Amino acid sequence: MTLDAPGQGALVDTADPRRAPGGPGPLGGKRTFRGRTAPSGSRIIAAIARREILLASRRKLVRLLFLFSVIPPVILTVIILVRIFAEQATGAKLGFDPLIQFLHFQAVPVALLAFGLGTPLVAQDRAEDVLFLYATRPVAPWHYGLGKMLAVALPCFGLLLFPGLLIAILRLGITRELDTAAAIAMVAKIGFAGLVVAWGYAGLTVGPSALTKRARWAQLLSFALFLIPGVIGSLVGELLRTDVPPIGAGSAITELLTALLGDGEWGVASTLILVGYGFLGYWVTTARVKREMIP
Amino acid sequence: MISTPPSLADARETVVLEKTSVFYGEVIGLSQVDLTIGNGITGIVGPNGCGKSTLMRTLTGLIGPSEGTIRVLGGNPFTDPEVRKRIGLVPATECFYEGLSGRKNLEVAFVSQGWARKDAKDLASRALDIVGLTSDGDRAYGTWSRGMRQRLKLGLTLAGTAELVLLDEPFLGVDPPSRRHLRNLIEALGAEGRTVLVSSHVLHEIESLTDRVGVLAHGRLLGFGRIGDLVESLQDRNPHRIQLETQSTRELARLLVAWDHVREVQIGDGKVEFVTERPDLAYVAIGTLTPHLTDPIEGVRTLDDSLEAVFRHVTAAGSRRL
Repeated sequence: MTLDAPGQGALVDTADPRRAPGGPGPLGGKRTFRGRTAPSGSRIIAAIARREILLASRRKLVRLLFLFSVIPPVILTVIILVRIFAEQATGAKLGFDPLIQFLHFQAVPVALLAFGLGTPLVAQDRAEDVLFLYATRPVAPWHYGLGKMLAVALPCFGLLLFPGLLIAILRLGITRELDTAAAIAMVAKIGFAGLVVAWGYAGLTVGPSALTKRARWAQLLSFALFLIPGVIGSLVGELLRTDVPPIGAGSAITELLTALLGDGEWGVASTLILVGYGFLGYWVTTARVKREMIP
Repeated sequence: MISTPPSLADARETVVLEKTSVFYGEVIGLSQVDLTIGNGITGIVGPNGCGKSTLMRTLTGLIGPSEGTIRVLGGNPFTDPEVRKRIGLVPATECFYEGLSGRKNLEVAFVSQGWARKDAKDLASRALDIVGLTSDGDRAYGTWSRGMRQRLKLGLTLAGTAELVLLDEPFLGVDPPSRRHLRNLIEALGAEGRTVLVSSHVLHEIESLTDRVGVLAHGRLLGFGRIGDLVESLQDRNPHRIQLETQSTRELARLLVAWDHVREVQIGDGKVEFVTERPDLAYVAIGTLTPHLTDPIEGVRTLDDSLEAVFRHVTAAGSRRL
């Protein structure tokens, strides 16, 4: 019996036949398919993320949420264009810059998108009993965890960065009110905020998904995680009659954007809170996968 | 513990475990396992919960050893991703989507393994071809028999580039025709020069695949080697059942009971079965019995000459180190 199917690219054992038995070098020789060895771990992470994004893009709800996430930047563009043309027509400086408000606004539909993308990810794999699909070419649990996190974080990051890029292009291209360095700094700040918020969103949605086999429960849990810490933070602040760090995701995003683009004092704390949510979700996911895969 | 004979260890030592232990908190998964495996097929047998799956997952790098060292394909699979990408695992559990076709499942699996989409399609076709499922490939996986499912899992590894192939209970719940097919595929893998480790509690399947077997119980490797050597060595250390044929069953039983090393005697129709802790002494002494019997001993049968029998003894012995 032969294992080489005709016309499919034979597997090649590249073991050196002259190698002394038991001698040094890669033991067993490297087998290849069309001259390539098995893909590396980083390609697997990318493959997991890509596949999940592709699958999600076929779901109506996710498409709807994506469209919903694109609406704020479109409105923002219209407002800025109207402002620019009004200023050019009247010669007056209107001084209205809606960037921070729109980034706040943009964070809401992107959170909903993260919610739609992230909450079924691990729960469905567990419900369908396909976790071991990823062990057939063994991956470390962190490969799986990171792949799933990126499936949520990357689209969210793109959508959060989009308004910043748009404004930079409009300001540079039409009004020339920004110099290139200032535009780059602004985009970098928005990019940083986008990274932190997207990672936090991924943790807040993928983590709960790893705790249950039912996507509905994951959605409830995720929703609670988005809301409850913020409510607790507000209550504590009220009780102590003092400012407390933004422990809820919503308030952390507000404080982070304010600190980066305006004048806020909780920038570092907000970053740590959001990054912490991300790592918590990532840790829960990898721990769950480890537990499922290890007898 | 039986050490691996020098001739048994293949020129390429694909797997080397030295005093490897794995603990789950206070539970022992593997205990002080020494094991060297080369190319070709090697079997690991043991009852449920004996540590077979832990061994498999340690070799894939999913679990790091708590003590001792592990070397797979020249590196540590727990820390070296280059090693992991040269390993293929066929898990005992389900791993495919019920709603997708067999072909689509394979494509998803190969894409998830990081292969480009076109390569994944070709690898899926190749896998279906190898395991003889091309005609069923486009049917929903949920409608497939257990045997077909197992073959599909095997195809995933067969079509891939894994040099070390770990098969966890591949015959579990598989019908006889599919078993034959699976066995042929596994033999072909071994003949290709890959290192194949098959775990099972279906002992005769392992015996029919390879003469290199390790026996695991309670996380300990109780024996490892050629089946013949293993049986011989373990027989010397374990209770051994012998059947003697004679018409003087009661006289014979009385004589056997008097021997120190005999633990149990059963009288049947024209035969007597006994269990001895010293088969070496028993076989010598049987020759001296006939003069003391009215009817001669007409036949001697060793009932414990199969791996099954040895396995029963050693695993029942539990954690006793041999």
